[in-house]
Amino acid sequence: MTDRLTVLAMSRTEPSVIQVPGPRLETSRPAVHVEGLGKDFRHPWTQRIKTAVHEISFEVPEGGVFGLLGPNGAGKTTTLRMLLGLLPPTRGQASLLGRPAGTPESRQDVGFLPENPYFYDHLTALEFLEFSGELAGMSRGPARAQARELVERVGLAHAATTRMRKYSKGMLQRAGLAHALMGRPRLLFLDEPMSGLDPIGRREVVDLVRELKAQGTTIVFSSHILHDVEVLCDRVAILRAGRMQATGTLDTLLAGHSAGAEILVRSTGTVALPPEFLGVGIEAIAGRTRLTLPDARRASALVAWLASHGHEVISLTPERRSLEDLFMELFQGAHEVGGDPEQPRVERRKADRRSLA
Amino acid sequence: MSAILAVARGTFREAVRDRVLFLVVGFGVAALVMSRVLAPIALGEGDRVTIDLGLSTLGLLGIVIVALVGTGLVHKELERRTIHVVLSRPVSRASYLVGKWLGLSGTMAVAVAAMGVILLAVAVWMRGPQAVGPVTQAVFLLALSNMVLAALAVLFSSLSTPVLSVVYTLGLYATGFWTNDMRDFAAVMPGALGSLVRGVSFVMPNLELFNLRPQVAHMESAPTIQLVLALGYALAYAAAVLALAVVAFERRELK
Amino acid sequence: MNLARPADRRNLMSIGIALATFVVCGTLAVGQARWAVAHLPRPEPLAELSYYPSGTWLGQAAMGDATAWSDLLWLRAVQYYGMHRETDNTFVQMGHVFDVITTLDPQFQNAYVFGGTSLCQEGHQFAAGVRLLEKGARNNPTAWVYPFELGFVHYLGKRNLTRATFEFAQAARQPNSPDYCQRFAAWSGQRAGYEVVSVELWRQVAETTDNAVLREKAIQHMRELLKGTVEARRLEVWVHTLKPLAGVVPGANPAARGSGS
Repeated sequence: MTDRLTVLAMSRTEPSVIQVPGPRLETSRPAVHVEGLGKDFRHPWTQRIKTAVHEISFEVPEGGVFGLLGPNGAGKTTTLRMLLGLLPPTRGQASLLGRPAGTPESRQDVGFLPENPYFYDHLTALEFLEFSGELAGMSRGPARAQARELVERVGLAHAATTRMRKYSKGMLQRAGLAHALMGRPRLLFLDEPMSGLDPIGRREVVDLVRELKAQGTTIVFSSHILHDVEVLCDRVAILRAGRMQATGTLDTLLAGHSAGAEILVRSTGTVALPPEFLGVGIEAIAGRTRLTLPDARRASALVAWLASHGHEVISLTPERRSLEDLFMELFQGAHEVGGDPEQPRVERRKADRRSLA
Repeated sequence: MSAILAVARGTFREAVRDRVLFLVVGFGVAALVMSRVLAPIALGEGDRVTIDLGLSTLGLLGIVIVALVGTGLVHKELERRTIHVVLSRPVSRASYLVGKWLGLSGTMAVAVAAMGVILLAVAVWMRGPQAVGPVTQAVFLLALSNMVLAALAVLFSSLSTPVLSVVYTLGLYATGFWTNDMRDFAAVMPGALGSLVRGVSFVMPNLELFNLRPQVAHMESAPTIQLVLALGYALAYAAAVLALAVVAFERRELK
Repeated sequence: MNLARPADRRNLMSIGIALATFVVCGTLAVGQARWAVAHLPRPEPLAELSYYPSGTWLGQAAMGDATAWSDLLWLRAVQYYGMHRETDNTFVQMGHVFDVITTLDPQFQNAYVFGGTSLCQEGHQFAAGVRLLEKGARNNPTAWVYPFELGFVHYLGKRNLTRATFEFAQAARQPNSPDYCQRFAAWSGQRAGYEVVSVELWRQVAETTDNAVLREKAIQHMRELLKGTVEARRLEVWVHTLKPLAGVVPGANPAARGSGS
C-alpha cells in the first residue's frame, strides 16, 4: 500500500509547486552525539539483567528535526532519559550541544517534554512555567513574562490561572510543551508530543515545531506514530527492542526502490498511450485522468508526449516509499504494525556483568 | 542557588496549599486553648501547665507535619514523575534535595511561628513580659529541631516509601530524647558494648538540646551559648543528613 | 560507573563531596553534642514529672500503657537518684516520682523497696519512705518483702525495735518468706525485751531450720532468755525431742548433755 507523499497538500500558499526538499546545512558540531550508548536494568531481587538499550549510536545535526522512532518498548524513552541524566547509562557516551550528557550543565539550553506529563496539581500553569523558568536559570521577572507569552502560544491563556489538577490531558500536554520551551532552549526533546491532543491541537504542534525549526532550534522527536514523524522529521533513527535498525535522512531511507510517479491530466477525451508507455496505469477520476507510472524516470518523457498531443498536464507527483512501508520491512515477522516480537532475554549471571561495562 | 530557592518555594507552596497543614495548625491552636481547661485541676500550676503543654503541642506539630508532608516529599515526586520536570533542567540532584529540605523547614517554621505567636501572647497575658524571652527562645529552638527532623524526612523519603519513612523518622524522634539516658547506660555497660551504645547516642539526633521546656516552666532564659550551640548543631546535623541523602540519591535511576 | 564518561566522573565527584560533607558536618555535630553534654547543665531527668499532680492522672493519660510508662519513669528515677547521689545528696522529687511509679504499677516491687529504703536513708525522708513501703504492703498483702523492709528501716533508722519486731514477724507469716524473717523477728524481739515472744520465735527457728549451727544458736538464745526460770529445765527436755541434724555442733551446753531426757 503505497502512500502518496503529496507535498502539495502540506503547502497552503503555493498550490501547484512541486517542492523538493533542499539539502540540509550541517554545522561541524552535532547537537546530540550518541556513541555506543546502552542501558541494562538489574532486577533487585533476582539480579537478572534486562538490556533495554544495546549499543546505539547516532548524531543529530543542529537545526533539524530528528525523529526517534520505534514501537512500544523499543528503548526510545530510555534513550531520552539517559541523554537527560535521569538514568545513568551502563555503557557508551553522549553529548548535548557539545557538553557531556548527564551533567547539569548539559541540560542548559535544553527543553524536555516527557511522555504523558504529570505536573504539580496545586500550581497554575503560569506558576508552573515560572517555576520551570527559574529552574532553567531565569530570574523571576523574565520568567513571568515568558510564561505569559508561552501560555498564549500553546493556547492555554483561558486557563492560565486555573490549578493544573483541573486540566484535561490535552491541556496538560500543552502545558508540558510550554514548560519545555521555557528558557528558549536550543535543543528540544519531545517524547510523544501529540499524545492526548485533538486534530486541531496536533496541527498546532506541527506548526510550532516548524516554527521552532525555522528559528534554528534542534528538535528530537520521539514517537511511534509514523505519520507525525514523516511530516516533521528530516532525519530519523529507528529502534527495535533496544537496537538501532536504521538511521539517516528520510530521503535516504525511503529511496532505493524504484519509485513511481503520478500524472494528472485534464480529460479532453480518452488518453491513448503509445506502446513505449506500456505498464502505465490509466484511471478516470471526476473529469481528470490519472496516469500512474511504475518508474518515475519515464515521467518527463510521458509529460512531453502528453503535451505534444494536446493533453493539459495538471500535476506531476513523484511517489516514494512511505515510512510505514519501511517499518513493515524492518519489522517483518511482527504480529502487527507497531508490534515488536520480544528479543530473547539476555540473562547473565552476576559474574558476567563485567563484560557489559 | 536560584534552583534551590525555586525548589524550596515550590515545596513551600505545595505544603501551604495542602489543606492538611491548616488542619494540623488548627488542631494545635485548639489544643492550646483546651490546655487552659486543665488549669483548675492543676492545683495552682495552671499557667505553667498551659505554657508547657503549649510548647509540647508545638513540638508535636513539628513531628506531625514531618509525618504527613515530609516523609512523602521526594517519594511522591518519584512516583508521579514530576521529578523529571525538575531534573531535566540544569539542576543537580543535590540542589534538588537541599531545596526540598529548605522548603519543608520553611513550612514548619511558618507553622511553628504562627502557633508560637499565639502561645507567646497567652504566656505574656498570664505571666507578663518576663515570658517573652523564655517562650521566644523555646519556639526558636523548636524550629531548629524541626530543621533536623526535616533533613531526616528528606533522607528517608528519597530512600524509602512514605510508610517506612514515617516509622524511621518517628523512631529517631523518640530516641532523640533518650540520648542522655543512652550515654548513662553506656557508662555502666561492659567495654565494647558501652562504646557502641555511646557512639550510637551521638549519632542519634540530640533533641534534648532543643528542649527548653524545663526552663520555660520556671520562666528562665537559656544561656546564649546553648542557643548558639543548638543553631550550630542543627545546621551541622542537617547538613550531614542531607549529604547522606545526596550520596544515596545521586545515582538513583529515575524510571 | 564508567570513569571515562564525564557524567560518571561528575557523579563520583558529587558523591565524594557529599561524603566529605557528611564526615565534616557529622564530626562537627558530634563534637558540638559532646561539648553540650560536657558543659551545658544537664536537663533534670524528672523535670517533666513535676507538674503531673499524681500517678492516677498520668495513668489515665497513658491509655493502657501504664506499666510501660512506669518503666520509663523508673529509668529516669534511677538516673535522678544517681545524679543527686553524686552531687548534692538531696532528693526532692524522689518521693513524688516513686509514688507516681508505684501508682502506675502497684506490683513494682523494686520501686517500693529501692524508693522506700533510699528515702529513709540517703534521702532523710523517713516518713515518706515508710509511707511508700506501707503502700507496697497494702497493694501486695501476701508479699513478705514489704513488712521485712519496713522492719529493717525501723530498726536501722529509728531503732524502733517494737515496730521492727512486729514487721519482721509479719514478714515471717507470709507464704514463701525466707527463714531469716523469723530470726530477725526473734532477735529484734529479744532486744526489745519481748522475752516471751522472742522465746517462741527462737523455738520456731530451732524447729524449722535444717542448719545445725542455726539451731544451736536458736537454742542458745532460748537458754539465755529462760536462764534462771522454771522453763529452763523444760527447754532442755524439749531440746532432746528435736530431730537430729547432720553436722558437728561446737559448744553445746554441758548441762543439757548431763540431764536425763
